[in-house]
Amino acid sequence: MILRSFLDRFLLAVFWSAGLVILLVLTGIIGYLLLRGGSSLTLEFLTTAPKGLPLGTGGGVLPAIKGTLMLVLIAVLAAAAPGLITAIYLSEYGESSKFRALVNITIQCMAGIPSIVTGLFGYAFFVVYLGFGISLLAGGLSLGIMIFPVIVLTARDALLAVNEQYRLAGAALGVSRWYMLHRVIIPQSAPAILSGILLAMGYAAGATAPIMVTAAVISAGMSGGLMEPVMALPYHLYILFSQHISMEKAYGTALLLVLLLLFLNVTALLLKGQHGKGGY
Amino acid sequence: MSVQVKNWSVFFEKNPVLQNIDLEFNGNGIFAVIGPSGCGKTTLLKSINRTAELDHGFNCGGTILLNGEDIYQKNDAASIRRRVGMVFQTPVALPMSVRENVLFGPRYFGEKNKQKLSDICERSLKQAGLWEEVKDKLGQPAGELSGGQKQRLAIARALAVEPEVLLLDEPCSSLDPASTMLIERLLTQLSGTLAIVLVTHNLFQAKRVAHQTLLMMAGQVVEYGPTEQLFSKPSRQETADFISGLTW
Ligand SMILES: Nc1ncnc2c1ncn2[C@@H]1O[C@H](COP(=O)(O)OP(=O)(O)OP(=O)(O)O)[C@@H](O)[C@H]1O
Ligand SMILES: [Mg+2]
Repeated sequence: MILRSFLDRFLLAVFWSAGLVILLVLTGIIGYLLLRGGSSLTLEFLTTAPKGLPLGTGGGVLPAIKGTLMLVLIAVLAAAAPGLITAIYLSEYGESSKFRALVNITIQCMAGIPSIVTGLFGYAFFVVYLGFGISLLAGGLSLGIMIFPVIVLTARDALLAVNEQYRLAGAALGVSRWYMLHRVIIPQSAPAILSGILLAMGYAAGATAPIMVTAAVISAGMSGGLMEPVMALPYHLYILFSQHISMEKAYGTALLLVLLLLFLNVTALLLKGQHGKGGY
Repeated sequence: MSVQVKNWSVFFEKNPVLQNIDLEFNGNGIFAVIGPSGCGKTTLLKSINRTAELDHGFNCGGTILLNGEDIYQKNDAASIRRRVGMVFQTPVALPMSVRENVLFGPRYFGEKNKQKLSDICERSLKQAGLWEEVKDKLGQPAGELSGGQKQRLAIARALAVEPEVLLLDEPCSSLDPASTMLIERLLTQLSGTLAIVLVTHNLFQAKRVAHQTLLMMAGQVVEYGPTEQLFSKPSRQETADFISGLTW
């Protein structure tokens, strides 16, 4: 008995400290970024273009913010609808068919493709083959390919998590699957699906590899044309840092990027926390 | 209303679950199905409204006739499910209001007239003996009802599409005695106008409410007849053993 309660306490301590370590790492990163980049994160930094020679030693990151937002928007527009349709197929239709098993495996594999490989594919297909050139569109679509499996898998699991009894009760009434889907299953899983989409957006916003070869440049105007190259936060950060242009600005950019991702992830978590609430 | 099951067998993958079942329910009334756990009661029930085939690996042989019509002949399971309602062991309240739960079927089948919908809602809830308790909270989430109320709501939802047969799979197994009594009284009332098939683990319940009782074991019919007779003068030794509690 005594031994058992000791084991319980010991395990509790282990799990608790594991949580603590994660918390410390996260606050450590953010704290360090605040320390190094906090001072450069000013209103001017957010609202002006980079200046100076070499470019980036002065000014701000406004075009990169815009570029990242546009890239993420295009990625989500391209990936969300096909992702949801695939997820619905995987969770609701094609039971026990070989094709469904194949689709499941394909999506898992897609999720495991390194993002630089997605970038190379985007380069070969969008930039060269389709002739988009280094452009917002090519980068957004490459990011779309990258986040597609994330959206499918989170949405599929959200749909599968809906109480199976509902489906059976609906079937026993003789209503169609689509009616069940749009009146019960999708509304029930919507918060978790949206949360998955937000996580995917965060993933796209922070990804550097796929846009490095398809969309991002050191300096671009703010025309926002689909076929124009763009600036983007992670790439800007990479250049500032790797070419020793300005450590201060690099840390400011990193802080901004982390805050953006944190915002997306916390919103996603809050949404997911809503799941199953609302009295029903 | 008549339900005829002829030489009916069900397999999941290669495993036989029901073997050559023959039985016939005629007219309204309550038909109880009893038998040990795993003998195939649920599968038999789900065969009658074509929901068994939703499970992976389902295979069947034989025929089931509803008023003489072979329900497995057409490819249209939905129309059979509409005619044969089913209520499950765990009460299922759909995540919407009490009213929308009841109107879930009618809305799907195209009823748009507000007055008619509200009539259907009231009629079904009254038939299910739930009206008095919920008439002032029709707009509230059905999830807030008690277990017994949810089960009667499930009955109301099934009745709202005016089925010819109502199947109930151990509807009282998660309910307290008072709710159970309420549902038994309700089933007795409904049996005047509806054919009811009731799977139950409670032999006393079968004795109290059923006009006919069927005993199944290991996927086969052991004995079938008027409840009174099955319990007082069983014609098979297995039946006598089962109802005296020896084999379950
Ligand atoms: N979907 C399925 N796939 C495989 N086997 C199944 C499936 N459904 C039921 N079975 C098997 O068929 C047999 C009968 O199951 P069924 O649920 O009809 O029994 P039951 O009489 O309702 O039991 P209980 O009283 O415990 O509810 C069991 O052995 C079960 O394992
Ligand atoms: Mg059962």
